Amino acid sequence: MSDWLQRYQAGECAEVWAEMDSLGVDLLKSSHRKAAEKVALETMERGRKNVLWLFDGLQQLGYCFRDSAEPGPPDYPLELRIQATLDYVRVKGGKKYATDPWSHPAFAWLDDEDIDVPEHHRKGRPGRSQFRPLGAKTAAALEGIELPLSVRCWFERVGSVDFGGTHPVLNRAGEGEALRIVWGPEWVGSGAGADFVASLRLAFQWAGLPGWSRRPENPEREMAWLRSKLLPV
Amino acid sequence: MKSFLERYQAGDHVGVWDDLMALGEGVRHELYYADATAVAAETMRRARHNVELLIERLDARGYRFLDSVSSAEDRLSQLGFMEQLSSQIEGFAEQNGKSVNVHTNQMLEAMRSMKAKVEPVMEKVAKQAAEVAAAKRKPPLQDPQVFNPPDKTTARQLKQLEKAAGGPLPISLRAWYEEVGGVSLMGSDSLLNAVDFSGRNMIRQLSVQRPAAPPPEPDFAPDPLVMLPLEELLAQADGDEGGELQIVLAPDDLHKANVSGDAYYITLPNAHADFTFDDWHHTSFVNYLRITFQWGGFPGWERSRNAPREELKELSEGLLPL
Repeated sequence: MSDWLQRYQAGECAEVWAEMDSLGVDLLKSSHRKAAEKVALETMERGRKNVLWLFDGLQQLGYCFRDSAEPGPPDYPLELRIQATLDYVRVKGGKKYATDPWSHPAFAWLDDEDIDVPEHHRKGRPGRSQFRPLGAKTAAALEGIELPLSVRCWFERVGSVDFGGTHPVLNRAGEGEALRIVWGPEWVGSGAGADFVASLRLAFQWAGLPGWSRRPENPEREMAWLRSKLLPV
Repeated sequence: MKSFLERYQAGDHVGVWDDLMALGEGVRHELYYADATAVAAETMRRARHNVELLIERLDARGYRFLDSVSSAEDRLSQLGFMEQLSSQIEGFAEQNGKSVNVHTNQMLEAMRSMKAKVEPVMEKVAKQAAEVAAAKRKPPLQDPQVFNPPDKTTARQLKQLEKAAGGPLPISLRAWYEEVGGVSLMGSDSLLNAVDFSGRNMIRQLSVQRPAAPPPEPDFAPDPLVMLPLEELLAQADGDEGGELQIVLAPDDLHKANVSGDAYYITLPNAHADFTFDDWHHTSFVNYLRITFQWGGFPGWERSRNAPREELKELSEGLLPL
């Protein structure tokens, strides 16, 4: 069992997770804990790379990321701050920031204050609603509760992820099921959490859009291109 | 799954262009670019067919295109302008039972005197210009002022324009210049486009008959289809290299009606499949072309209650859908 990581790296991903899962709640109490954690770490590191690639690859294909939650009332003070910064970048930013003013250092306050840019400014690009790596708040929440190993490791290494959006081929009208893993109390549990990894596997197999697994026809070209850079989990 | 081109050819014209637009700049991805340019080329081949048919139909009904000959003829017609204007002023005063005041008399005298001086020179020059132009007169489809199709220099010019803009043209506009080129349906026709480039319109406006004319419609002009030739776009970009560029694609509806107006602009670069055409519809370029062909090349009639519907229907009949 100590060769779990080697076997995982050799391609026995599902088998290793199934074995770990078979130990049930005892996994984290047993002598196998360290070996299991190594597998979980490797799995979620791959998951993180996959998520980053999918955000990039889907954008390259023109995927328009949208918030799953209904938009709230406009935040006028935030809008004014954003507009003032956009004006500043337009005047002072030069050609370098003409096409992407959001990457200008003048927008550093968005990161500093952990502010989610409203959807109408993002024009389809993913924001914090789509990808929120582990923050202090979630880290504190993870401390006090029991979670399956895979879930804990996902939130520690990856974070909250939402691939909801629209695309004329991949997700027309945003009706298709998209990978959505957001931190919340429903994740409480124990054991290895092989089910969670299996659901990730399915989601990555369908480039973050697992709804395609239930449809007879699928966008083969897009899927093949997106899968080409995905790592097996 | 069907390609965009297959869907377009099967008749899903609007859906395909909506989808291409929804891809944003993703339309330039290797998975879509060839398919998208094939759709654009097919769309603009249809547009060219429509443009050529419209020009032929307009020519057949005696539409006076604003071509090189009509420009010379207009200069010739200006000879009689001052004389006609003088008689109109006098006639207007008589009909209204008023005598011509001393200032008007002075103006009339000055006009007559000026006409006597310039008439021989103007007549000679204008006549020669008209004769030269008439000798060279070509059918509108062969007159570059009306239809200026792409040639072997087009690809190079498009590259130059993209270099000046620091990025690509929208796929639709590029395809337009690759397949169609410069087009101008500007001209005059008593029903379709009662615009007078000679100045005779001014005389008609002073006519005592004017009260019998239909009430004027505000903000209305037939707005004939015009897309400036690629050379003119390049001339506007002259000197620019690699920066955002705002260029004129066509005069606006008022300008086309020979009154003070503005233009329809585009800001480049634009990496999308299509762009918002700058006329009052504020719709995509491809959709603007659809509307234009639906109105026989004169989309401005859409705003009028008195559109010559029969004539416009004849013009637009059988045009290919985009």
